[in-house]
Order: sequence, then structure tokens, then C-alpha cells
Amino acid sequence: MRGPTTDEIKRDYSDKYKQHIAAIFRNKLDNGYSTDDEEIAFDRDDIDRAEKRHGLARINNTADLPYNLRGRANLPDELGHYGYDSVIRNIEIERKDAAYLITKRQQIIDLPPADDIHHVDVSGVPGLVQSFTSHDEQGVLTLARYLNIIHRFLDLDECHHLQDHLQTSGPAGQAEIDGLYIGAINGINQVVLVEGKDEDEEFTRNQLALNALTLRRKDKLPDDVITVGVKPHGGDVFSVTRFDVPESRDKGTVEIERTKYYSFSQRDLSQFENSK
Amino acid sequence: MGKYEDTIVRVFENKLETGYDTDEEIPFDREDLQVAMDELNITVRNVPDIPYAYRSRRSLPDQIEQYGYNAIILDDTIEGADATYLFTKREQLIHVPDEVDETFTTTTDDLPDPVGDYIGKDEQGVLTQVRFVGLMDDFTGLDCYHLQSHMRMRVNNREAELDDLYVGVDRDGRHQALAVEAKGVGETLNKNQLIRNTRGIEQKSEYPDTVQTLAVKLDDDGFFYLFEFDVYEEDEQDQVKIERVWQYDFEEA
Repeated sequence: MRGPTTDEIKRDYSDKYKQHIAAIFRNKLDNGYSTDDEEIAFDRDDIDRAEKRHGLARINNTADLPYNLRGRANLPDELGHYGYDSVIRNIEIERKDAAYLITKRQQIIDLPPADDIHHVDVSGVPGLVQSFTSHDEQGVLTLARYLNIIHRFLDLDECHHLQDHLQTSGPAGQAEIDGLYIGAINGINQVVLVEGKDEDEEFTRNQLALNALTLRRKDKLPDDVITVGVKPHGGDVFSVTRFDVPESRDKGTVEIERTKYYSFSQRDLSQFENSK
Repeated sequence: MGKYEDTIVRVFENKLETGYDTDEEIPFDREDLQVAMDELNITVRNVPDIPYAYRSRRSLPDQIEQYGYNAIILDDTIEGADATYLFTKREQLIHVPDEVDETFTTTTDDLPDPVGDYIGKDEQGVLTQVRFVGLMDDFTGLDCYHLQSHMRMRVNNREAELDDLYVGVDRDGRHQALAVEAKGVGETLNKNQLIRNTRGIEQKSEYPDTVQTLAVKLDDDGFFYLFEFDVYEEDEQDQVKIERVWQYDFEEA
């Protein structure tokens, strides 16, 4: 395969992320990689080279690449044709700068169907909080905190919310963790990593693995890391999922351990409507 | 010099070369930062953190300060998706005053043991401690309910991040939104951020119309300072004034 011309790249793709990855992909094939390779490594230099060679719009935040190119549906067709699935952070090499893989390993984790929905009594949540929380990821995380959902779901002896939105540097670069709890079982402390997703977003193996690895390496936190995902599904329904996250990819892939669907019982907010 | 300092000095020098005068505020944007880094062959992973550092954590380098500039702020006069910054001579940083309005001693008894072991001294650790021991209720005199942390919103079409949002209710049942900014050890409150956070919540229709602008700051000695501010408009410019500051000293449980 020859490297693409600028006209080809811009003709085939209007999205700058697809333009970049198509250019990088073709150049990698010209320089020793084969479409038989399960993964193709690239880094910031490759991104800059593609930008300069083809006059592409700059990707200021390279972390946007794996987000926008997660799952085959978001990849350029020519990558999907050869079985590639996603762009992911190259965690194993533990570089703090931008290091990525084009991978054939499936990244998006499909949740099981909501066959069984458990109703949660929200009467313990202050009405004021109910009236000002939304149905999106943030709203569900707030209600889950007030209702001790994480504690109940994990069945720990103790579980306390420590903080939201932990931005921290780890062995494979910057990580953002939506919620952090400290739990305890049989006197042993655990850190509970909570990943929140909006209704139209998916959990991805690479992101969960990166976040878990980042917390495992934090000296100031407990060694045991439990990974949990929280996601709204429309209306008052949301799911909580516990993931099994191996310490490295050679020990297995990130898989669902169990998922439970919940529904907040009907909220009566009429008494708060005129209180603004 | 470090990467941040090298970069911001080069941005400043480049702007002077293009004709800006040191008598005025000087605007720059992300492209200017990128050009400076390219010229210096510097890579910074989180580029927006460079101007952010000079908004709340660091003093400007001497090469810039010698002209009277004392901070970098977001330029709210220009709407757009990409942030535009200003080298400004307007005093931005808000330090803990030498004299506070009230001082209190409290305890960490309400902190669960596992939480106390892992709480940090950064802004998030400060907010966690404030929440567990109920300092917001004490400081405001309201019944306070924490709604969410790290709220991303748009102000003049640009992203702003509020550290904590509470809703408070007074004795008559009236609601107030409490916009809380937090700073840990080594960080300083700044006016521009308080104004943007306040205006951002005011513009959101889903929250109460009354917005209180609050802040919490942890100092090197472990004291917590809670601030209440008045954010108002004067001469068509947003201003910030400290209303009161209370100091809390935590005795070990």
C-alpha cells in the first residue's frame, strides 16, 4: 500500500480524527506493519507528521483520539475492513506521553439486557436534591451517592464517598476518574473506582484498565481496586456494573462481573416547584 | 526555567514583537502557546494548564512582571469555543486576609476512619472534608445539600469548571445555589474564576435564581478558610469583593 495523498484523505473523510488515523494507518503499512498485525503502535510524532504532511486540522488534545475512535463504527471503513476495532491508549509500555494502538481487540463492553429492574425507594433523598438533579450521568451519580447504591451493590462492610472527578497522572499518562469511594470489608480497605457514562456512551476496556492501573499504583490509596460503572438508561432506570479488571492484558481482558439495573421510584417533586 | 515559564515568556515576547504595547492588556490564545512551544521544541501534555497555572498557582515570570502584569485571566469579552487569555495588570489573586471575621475550632469526628486515612490536601480533599463535617451548613446558616462536584458549564460559549455545587434552603424555604470554589495548599483564589463560576450558574435556568459565591481554602498550617463573596457589576465590569472570611481549625479526633 502506498501512502495516501492529501486529496484522498480529505476526500474520503471529513472528520479530522478519521483523517488523522487513516493517514497514520496507511503510513504505518508503508513502513513495516501488516494488516495481519493485531495492533499497530503510533505516537505524537506520527500524529504531528500526518498533520504536517496533509495539512490536517491540529488535534490539540490527543486523548480525544481514543474517545472519538472507539468501536468499529467510529473507525474509517478501511481500518474496519481489516478487522481493526478501536484506537486505544498503549498502557503496557507505560509512556506518559501520547502513545496509542490501533487494535483489533474489541473495546466497547455491551451491557446485558435489563431483564430484572430493582426499584429503589428515593424517599430518603432530600426532596430538594431530587428536584435539582437531572437524569444524566451526573444526576445518577448524585442520587447513587445519597442512596448508598455503591455500598449496597458491592455489599461491603463500609463504603464512603471520597471525591468526584479525580484528575491524576499515572504510569500511562493522565487519567480522569469520575468517582472515588473508600470501602472496607473484613477490616481491609478497598478503593472503589466509579466510571460514569451518559446514556449514549459506552464503557470501554482500555479506559477501565487505564484507570484501574492508575489507582493501583497510587501509594496513598488502598492496594485493592474495585471497578464499578454507573450509567443511566432513560427515564428513571440506571445500571451499576462491577467489572473484573486484570492487572495486565496478558492476564485476560476486562469483563463484566455482574450488572444490576435499578429504577428510582416515582419522584414527587410538586412541593418544590414554586420554591425558586 | 521550566517548560511553563519558557513557554509563557516566549508567548509574551512574540506578542510584543507583533506590536502590542506594555501599557495595555495583551491577548493570546492556544495557537500562540503552540507556536511558542514549537519554537522552543517543548512538549507539554496539558497545554491549557500553562495559563491556568498563572491564574492560580504561580506568579508570572520576572520578564513579564517587570512591566506591571500580575496574572493571566480568561478574556470574557470575546465569545467563542477557543479560550482567549489576557496578560493583565488588574489584581486577580485573593489571598487569605491577615484578620478574619470569625475563628472556630471543630473536629474531624464526623470523618469516617477510612476516609480520614486517604483524604488529600488538594482542592478535592478540602471539599470532601467540608462536606463530611457540614461546614457549608455552619458557614451559610442554611440547610445545604451537595448536588455535584466538578461541574462543567459554558460561560460566553467557553468551558468553565465549578468545583462544587450545593443547594441551600433558608428558614422560609427559599432556595439558593451555592457555587463553591476550592483551593488546596499552594493554590490561590482568583477573581476571574469566581466571576465566571457565578455567572455560569446564574445563566442555568434549572438552578435557583439566587447564587451565593463561596470558596474554601486550605493553608499550609491546616486551617480551613471559608469565604463569602459579593460578585457585582460596576462600570460595566464584573467585580468581586470579600464579604466575610471564617477560619476553621480542625482538632485531631
